[in-house]
Amino acid sequence: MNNFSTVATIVKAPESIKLGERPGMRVRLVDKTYGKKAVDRFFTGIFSGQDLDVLARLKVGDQIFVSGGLIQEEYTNKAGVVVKDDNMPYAKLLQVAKSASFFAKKEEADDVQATAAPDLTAPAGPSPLDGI
Amino acid sequence: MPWARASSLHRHMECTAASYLPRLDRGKWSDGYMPSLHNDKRPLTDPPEGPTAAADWGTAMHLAKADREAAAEPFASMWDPYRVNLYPPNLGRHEVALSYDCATGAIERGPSNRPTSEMDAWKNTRAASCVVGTCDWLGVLPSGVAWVDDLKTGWQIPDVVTPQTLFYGLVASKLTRVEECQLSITHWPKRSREPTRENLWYKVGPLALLSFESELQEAWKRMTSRVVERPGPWCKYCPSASVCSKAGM
Repeated sequence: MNNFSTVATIVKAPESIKLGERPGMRVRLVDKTYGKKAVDRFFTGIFSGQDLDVLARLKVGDQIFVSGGLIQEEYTNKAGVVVKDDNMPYAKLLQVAKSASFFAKKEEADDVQATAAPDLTAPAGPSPLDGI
Repeated sequence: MPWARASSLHRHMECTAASYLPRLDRGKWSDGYMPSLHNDKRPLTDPPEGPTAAADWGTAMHLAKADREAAAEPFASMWDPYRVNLYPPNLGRHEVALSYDCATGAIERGPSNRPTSEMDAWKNTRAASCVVGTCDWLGVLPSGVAWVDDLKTGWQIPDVVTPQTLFYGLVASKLTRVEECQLSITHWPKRSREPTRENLWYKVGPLALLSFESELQEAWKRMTSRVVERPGPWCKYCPSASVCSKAGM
């Protein structure tokens, strides 16, 4: 196991999981920030604690600074192919690097609001849309 | 030919190649919205074989919702008890074709509730800088605010505020000249006996609409400046995925 820190991009929406009795989140990430020649490195980070509040505000495509021990898993699938996958079971979110939803201005975020169903009692007559 | 359709706008705003690559729609290949640059890169593969039952069910439900002649049974009968209450005819129209020109900001309202071929013909004649789409329901609430509803028939609880609904909301707010809009989703999954809009109402204000319009115009500028395949979750249902060199990476 080695310690690995990088800027990673979220490629799959954070998924809520249970770590024993504690809530956690599983996030599929890719490290692809080091230029064209670098190989994109996919891994799954397991987060817990205060990181969850921040992760709940992130979306696919957002970039985060992440750190943790990276473990390589290897197994043979049904087709007989050896599959290797990287996992970061105790990932720590250091910082959010890029995220429209996280850094959205408060006013803008407040501008989209869930509402109750409006009154649909239609006045008699043609649709107002017909006059447009 | 417009560069993007509202239903796949989330993809076009992320990946410029989605506008250029050939598309596999319902088992048939067609050119990309923009002139294809990648035909010589990879050969077109055979269409994947798979059930289209879910898509067919969705199409049938949309036809029945709009009370079209082509609506088949039992879908038309399923909708009969709900149609007028959910979509008061005095408030709006079903299946309205809309267009937004990213270069000029101009909007256009096309035919509504007409055969698909006629709607597509109108959409295909819009300029290359346009985004086009068919809004499932476009109305004006008694309060004067534009109201956009989208019918979703998948099993997952759908997101209400998406690039697709924001696009319709943007055009609707410009049409009504009221700087906000009401979005809703009518959710009728296959397993359900009746449609619902519970917790599926959102109001979008002027700041968010303005911000979305800027994003749309930036996406169009990116598209015209450089074609880049940008893989991501939007590749999942991309009709060009089987000819894209980066899809699924």
